Amino acid sequence: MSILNRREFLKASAASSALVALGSRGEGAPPPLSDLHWTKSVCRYCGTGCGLFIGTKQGKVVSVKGDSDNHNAGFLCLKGFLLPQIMSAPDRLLYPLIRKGDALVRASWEEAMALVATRFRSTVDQFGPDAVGFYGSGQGLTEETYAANKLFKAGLRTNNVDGNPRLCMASAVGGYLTTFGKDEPMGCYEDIDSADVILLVGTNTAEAHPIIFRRIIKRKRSNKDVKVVVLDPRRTATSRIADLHLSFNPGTDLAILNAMAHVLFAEGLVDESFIAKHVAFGEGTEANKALADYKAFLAEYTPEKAAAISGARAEDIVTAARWFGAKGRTAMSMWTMGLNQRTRGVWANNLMHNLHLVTGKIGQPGSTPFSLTGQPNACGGVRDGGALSHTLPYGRLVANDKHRAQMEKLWNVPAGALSPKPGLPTIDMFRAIEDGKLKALWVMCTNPGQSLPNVNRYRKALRREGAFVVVTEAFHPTRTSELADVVLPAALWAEKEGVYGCGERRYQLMERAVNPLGEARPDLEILCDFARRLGHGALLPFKGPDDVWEEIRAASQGTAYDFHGMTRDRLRQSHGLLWPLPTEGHAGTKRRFVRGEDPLVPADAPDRVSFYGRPDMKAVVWLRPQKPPEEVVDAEYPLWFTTGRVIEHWHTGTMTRTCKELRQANYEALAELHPDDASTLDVKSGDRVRLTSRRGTEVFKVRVVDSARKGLVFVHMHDPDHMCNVLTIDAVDPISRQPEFKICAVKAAKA
Amino acid sequence: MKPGLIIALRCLSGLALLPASYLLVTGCTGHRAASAARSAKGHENHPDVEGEQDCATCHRPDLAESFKAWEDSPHGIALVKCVVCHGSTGPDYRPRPDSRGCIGCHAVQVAQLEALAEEEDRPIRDCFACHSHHTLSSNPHR
Repeated sequence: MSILNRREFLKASAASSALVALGSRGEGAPPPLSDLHWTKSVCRYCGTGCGLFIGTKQGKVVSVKGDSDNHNAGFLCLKGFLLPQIMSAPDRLLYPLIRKGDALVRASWEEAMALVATRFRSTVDQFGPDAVGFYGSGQGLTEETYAANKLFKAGLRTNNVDGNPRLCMASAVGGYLTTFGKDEPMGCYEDIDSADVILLVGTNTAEAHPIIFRRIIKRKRSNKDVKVVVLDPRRTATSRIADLHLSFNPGTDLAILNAMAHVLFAEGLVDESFIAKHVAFGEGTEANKALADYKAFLAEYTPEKAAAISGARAEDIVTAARWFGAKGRTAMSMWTMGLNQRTRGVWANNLMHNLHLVTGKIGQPGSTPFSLTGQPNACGGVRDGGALSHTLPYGRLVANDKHRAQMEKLWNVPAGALSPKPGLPTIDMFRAIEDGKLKALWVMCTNPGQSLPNVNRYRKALRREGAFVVVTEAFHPTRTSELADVVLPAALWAEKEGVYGCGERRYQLMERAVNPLGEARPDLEILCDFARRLGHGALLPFKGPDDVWEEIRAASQGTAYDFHGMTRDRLRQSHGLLWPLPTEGHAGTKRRFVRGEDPLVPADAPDRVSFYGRPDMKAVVWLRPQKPPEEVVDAEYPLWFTTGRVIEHWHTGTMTRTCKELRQANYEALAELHPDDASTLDVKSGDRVRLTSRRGTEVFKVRVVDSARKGLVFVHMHDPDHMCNVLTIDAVDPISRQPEFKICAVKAAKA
Repeated sequence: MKPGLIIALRCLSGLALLPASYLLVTGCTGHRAASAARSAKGHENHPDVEGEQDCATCHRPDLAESFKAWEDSPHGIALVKCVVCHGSTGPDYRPRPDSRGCIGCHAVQVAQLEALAEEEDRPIRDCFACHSHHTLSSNPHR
């Protein structure tokens, strides 16, 4: 198979991407800001959802500036600021490609779409609807994801619809659902401004969510009594502002979080009255325990025992708990993939919520448990929009008869059209391709050929004889598009219009600023074309994203997400709106479950909060014991291996690695080693080391850093030529089905 | 008084404090003197360094003080890295940065500078006229 090397391709390209994008800015002074036409939009990258304006001149994106009226107060991180460079990158895909033998060759849209429709139709005819699937993305627009979900579930009649949010936040969803009965964070970014204690667990906020980190820095500078506590095996850039950094052995944080709860009870830092009114207790899947059971459960989690399990210091665990629980002070926690990408991810999320529930530090400005999200529209598009294999839009479930009936009515399909059988979640979906059961897959706006754990196993599956893979992408080659049978050029970011929903329930409209490059089309247009060719045109009769939004608003009405009042015009005029927002006159909701703020809590509710997601209105404190990760170090594989992000790059690097500035700021994925480990391996910075897990092997350049934890190797996920996921494990959380990207065991040797 | 003029006066008052620190920093290494010379005579490209890990790989030994000043500054803690102000290699490399790197986060202030350029006889050249190198610490906009 002829595979272009992406790095060589970019390097060989005569045009510097920066210069192409900047046009006349390449030399001399940049054009005055007043000469540009500015279009309101949102950053393409992480789940922070920073508002920005896109500056265009003569139909080209030449600049961006932060939106000072949005939550980010006009600030952007360096990736966001350098967004113009991605638009005209040399590896933008400009026309459709279809596979002819080993090569992908140029085709017309007509030829490519006819082939795709024929293959999907014949696969369904021959093998049934569950032989096809859709793998979407937390980067697709809400309207695109909604359209794909509807076409596959109501048209093709399969629930094999999943997406990469399964890899990044499924455990956070599981945590919110099991504890509160409703998904999504209840607080907002503004809570940072009044938080007295900020507990950051398994999040390198400084690099993964830089503008949220800026807000934390601002809060800390505003008040010398604000404490920042970081729980992370690595001493990351985030720890630079920490008052306390707890490093620990990977996979032992459940013990630490239980020990913090132990200290809260032992030192009288709990709110008995809040617990009595608002908290139930549970174990397994049932809320069938009592406070006394929880206290008995916590008894064994002394700080000393947690310290022995985790390698953290007992006094640090006590300090963290004392700061968190201090009476009369607010506490906000934030976490990301360090907790979610775990085989006990849902449990770890539950334990974060427990700390807030036993102290009553929830539902007040500055007190909230907040899961930060990695992708710009994982929340708005896939999570809220119900585009996972077991969900339907806006909190509805595939397995719930009433929910299916509601959606059948809304989608105007016959009763019984929607299958009651949940489809395949991500890892199971790619294993079904491996097994030959799933025969045709549509991949939209993501890169599983690099981002899946144990990736070589699934790369092989994608090229399996008889598998037909369609990829819609703005760039080519990516590590997925190189494996596809058909690659369709998708419009990128500023070239299309739609809604992104970020981590704080804020929905924002991105307006179209320029025309798509080459023959590229917005994914919505591609999906509508596909639907017509399959004979399901009536399901996607949309002339544009505005039409889809009208249907989406209606689907949200009467649910816990209700944003029926969020008309297109309001989105156009606003700088983001937070749901619930049931009527056009409503301002939006900063804090859910809170009387006087959340329109779903009656104004005359007896208490300040009401956890209406649970039948008894009580949130559940779960008894979740410490459990080790799926794979632990041993004599043969003696080093822990973990993965994550750096500030310069994003996701699989398809966008950021086209930007010369960002490549030069951080070129390739390095293996970060503790000096003692480097010494044992006889390597220094710049040398190469071969890392091998039970699944694969890869060579990385070494960086020796004293911020590493001894015995732990870190590699970032953004480099297509040095893929950390060759090594990672594809074991999943049994509740959320999210893989354990964060922990596995490797051995290392000088290369 | 126009807001722009207030800022101009504040900028100018800040500028009066600058030359000593500016000279101190710019005079610290031969590299910087070379950069200044290049900048003064126009545009010269940074050599292509595709494949090097980051700016620090080559420049840290000579510019340890500048790196440290940046690292300990608000921009350093927020990880606003070299390329934001200095650009990439090639023709957009800026040994002495101009305001284009500031627009992403400080568009309002950059626009004020542009407005001043039209109003004043002696406009402030760019953000770095007041915000001293690498610490970027003074804030005349308060």
